Amino acid sequence: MSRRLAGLLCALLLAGCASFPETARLERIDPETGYRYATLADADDGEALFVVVTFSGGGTRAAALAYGVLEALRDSRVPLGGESRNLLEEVDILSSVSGGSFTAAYYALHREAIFADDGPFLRDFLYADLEGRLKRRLLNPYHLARLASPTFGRIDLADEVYQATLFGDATFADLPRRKPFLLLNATDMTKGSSFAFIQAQFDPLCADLDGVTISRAVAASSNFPIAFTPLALNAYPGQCDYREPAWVERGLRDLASNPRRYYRARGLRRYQEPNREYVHLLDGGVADNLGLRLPLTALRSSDPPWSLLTRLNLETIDKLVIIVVDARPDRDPGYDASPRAPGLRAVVNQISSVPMANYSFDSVELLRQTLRTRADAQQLSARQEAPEDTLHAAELYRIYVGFDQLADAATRDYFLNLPTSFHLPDADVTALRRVGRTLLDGAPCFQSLLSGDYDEAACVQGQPSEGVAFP
Amino acid sequence: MDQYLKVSYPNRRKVWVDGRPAGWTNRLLQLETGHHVIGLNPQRPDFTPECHEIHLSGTRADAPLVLHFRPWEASP
Repeated sequence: MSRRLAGLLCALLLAGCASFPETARLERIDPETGYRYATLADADDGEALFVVVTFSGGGTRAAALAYGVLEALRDSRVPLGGESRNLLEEVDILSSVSGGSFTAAYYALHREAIFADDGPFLRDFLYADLEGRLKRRLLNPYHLARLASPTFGRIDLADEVYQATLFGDATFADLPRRKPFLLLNATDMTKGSSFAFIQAQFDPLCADLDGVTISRAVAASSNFPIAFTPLALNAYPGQCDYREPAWVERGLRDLASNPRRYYRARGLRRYQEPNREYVHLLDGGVADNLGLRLPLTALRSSDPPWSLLTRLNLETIDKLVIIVVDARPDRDPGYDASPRAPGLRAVVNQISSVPMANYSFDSVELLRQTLRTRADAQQLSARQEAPEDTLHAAELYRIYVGFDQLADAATRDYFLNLPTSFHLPDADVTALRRVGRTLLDGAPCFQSLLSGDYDEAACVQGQPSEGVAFP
Repeated sequence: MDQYLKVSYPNRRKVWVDGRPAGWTNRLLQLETGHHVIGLNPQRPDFTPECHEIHLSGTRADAPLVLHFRPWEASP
């Protein structure tokens, strides 16, 4: 008995020495290797139709809505150059946050296998009680002992659960080097800005993304504050002969005329500070709960290595499609039915969710303005006589998938009131899959894309609509 | 914040913005407000001047900034 007790104590002591998995150091920056848009085998192929899809946060609600949209894309065909193309195969960029990152990462890793009826994604994640699994692991005495370590937190346990459940030990080196280019977005806790799991983001840290597991990136992206601990990555600034992009030096002079660019430049420069040996990450939703901010930057600036603006200027894109999938809830917490002040928990909940929702709304509006400005400039320049005075005239498609688009008030309220959790009843998951498909199919701009008959009023200007019917 | 630029050159070739190919000569380009270095392919330095360092602001699609490059010719 005493030997068993001693063994148990030893196991607990060892457990207390647990630590997060170390991020490997990159010996040398090589733009020809690593997970970059430019290293995809089909990076420069088929860009005439360029499709960006973003999946928001929102736990299983967001993952299921995203899944429904993926199913709709799989079943849609679009005319291009006299051919009919499968729309899902035309997706170039897949950018995601939090709950949406489970769907995005699984699809990027396993492609069509995500649709298998008895496959792990549906069986072990979408229709499973992931939240219960996380709680059981957290309450296991052995794992509780591991949490005594200052370098091993609840998010590292979650990473292990996601690894065992869905992603195995697959790393970024295992991601197929073909489109879609996956952007799993987390938030840098120190800088408060988006942090994407792509090698260009890891370069200034001299860290090798290829050795990072997909489960760890998904854990970082869905690392809801307070419920989980921040997720740590190692950084080795100054140890790989990193040369910052030329735009950074210029951008640092743009505080007065273009502060967005200035802060991007300053953020990149700060990653090179020699005392920054770790990066601590929170849920991507803290900085951007839509996964839309990086694509927006790529649309407005030639600075990102996969800039959409550059592709428009190089005249490689003829049709630019941006599909925003937003699982934003709108629950009435009932505070106003009582004279009593809401408690601390309610206040914390509101503080953590209201700014996120407001910022998401602004991101969608910024996308609308950006595309409208481009469309107006294309029209204005088209009036010039000389061809060299005209902008490349691309068709611009903005497609928003959100519960607000539903016509029926009761149906809308049902979806807007679904909780943010990693366990929903099967009926809710099935309804979310169906509504994702219905909302995408019901978007006038999406129908314009499928028909090949470009409707700028529906896609850029925005038209009054009676909403989408959900049977 | 969107700005417009035209780079004039006798032939069609790629325009480099801040060290990367980002458009074509003799076409209207959309760029971000701010400081930029505009050139042609630096690996084929057969043009002059070497580059233009500019602060791009205050342009419109129908009133872009126009920059000129010409083929470099060796002195006789």
